[in-house]
Amino acid sequence: MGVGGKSRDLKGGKKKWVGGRRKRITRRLFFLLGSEGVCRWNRVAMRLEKCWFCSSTIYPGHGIQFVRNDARIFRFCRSKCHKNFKMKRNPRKVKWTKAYRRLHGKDMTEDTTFEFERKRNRPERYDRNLAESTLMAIKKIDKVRTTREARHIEKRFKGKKAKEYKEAKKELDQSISLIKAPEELLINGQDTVPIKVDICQPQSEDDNRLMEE
Amino acid sequence: MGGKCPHRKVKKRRLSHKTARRTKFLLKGDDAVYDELKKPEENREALPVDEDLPGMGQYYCLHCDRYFSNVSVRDEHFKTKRHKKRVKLMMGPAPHTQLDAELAAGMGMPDNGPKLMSM
Repeated sequence: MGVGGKSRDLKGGKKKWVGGRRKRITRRLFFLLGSEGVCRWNRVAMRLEKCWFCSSTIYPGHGIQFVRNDARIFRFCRSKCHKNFKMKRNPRKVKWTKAYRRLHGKDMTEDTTFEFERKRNRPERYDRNLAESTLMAIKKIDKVRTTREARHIEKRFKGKKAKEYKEAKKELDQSISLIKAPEELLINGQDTVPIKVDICQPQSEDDNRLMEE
Repeated sequence: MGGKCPHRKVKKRRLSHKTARRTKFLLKGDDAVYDELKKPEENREALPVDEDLPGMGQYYCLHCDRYFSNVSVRDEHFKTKRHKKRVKLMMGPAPHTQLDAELAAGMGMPDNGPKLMSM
């Protein structure tokens, strides 16, 4: 891989061979996904890949990728994700990943804006007009998506507020007797109504002292 | 899990954890095992005879990707907690894949274009 000065961008690359029983040798090859490296070999436009673990975008020159001996590729955006993979953690059970957030209704799941970005496995003939309009559309779609996401989050919070209010009301209804005796409530002709409770303030202490004197 | 190292004198460092780690790397990934289990029973290849493996590679646990020396040991393994946990895991939803990661990131299904060969 490294010939002359060109190996600079691949300096983090290392080959790791894990030997063992002959037939089941697991060959693991880690290398940095260098932008130049991709260009040199394939002569195609670079792709913005998604991290296997956290689903964030991996820009050229970032992250690390692991090719398993059945030729399956695992890409990671940073060492955090790589380490978590090596620990055999399940991204669906780790709270900070997109997979978890999706699965538990934290993020927007169904939206028309999700249909635009896809992996297109076919060559597209370059068309200046198309490229221009696409670049325009990207900005617009991004804006639409962010506003929708913000709305989704707002909706989620709204539900929580109502829930908290409900819970607080229930607690008040059930344990009002801790503060006020039930008989007193009946005298007033009220069953379960919030009562203003006087809190001892420093002023009253002063009054007591005055009284004693 | 660590095995014994005969030449180590220091009491603390008598056990080596290398062997334990080695088997960890040799194990198949969850998704590979899941795919293997998904295949119908008839399509599975017969276990090849391999003298390097325990029991000539004839006593194999698909779920845990392990070879055993004979039938009784394998059946004993089927009763263990570790195996049962593994079976439960494999009965559940399919393991996480790159496609899942991409869908979670807000991408659509991959677009391969129209089929070029008419079947």
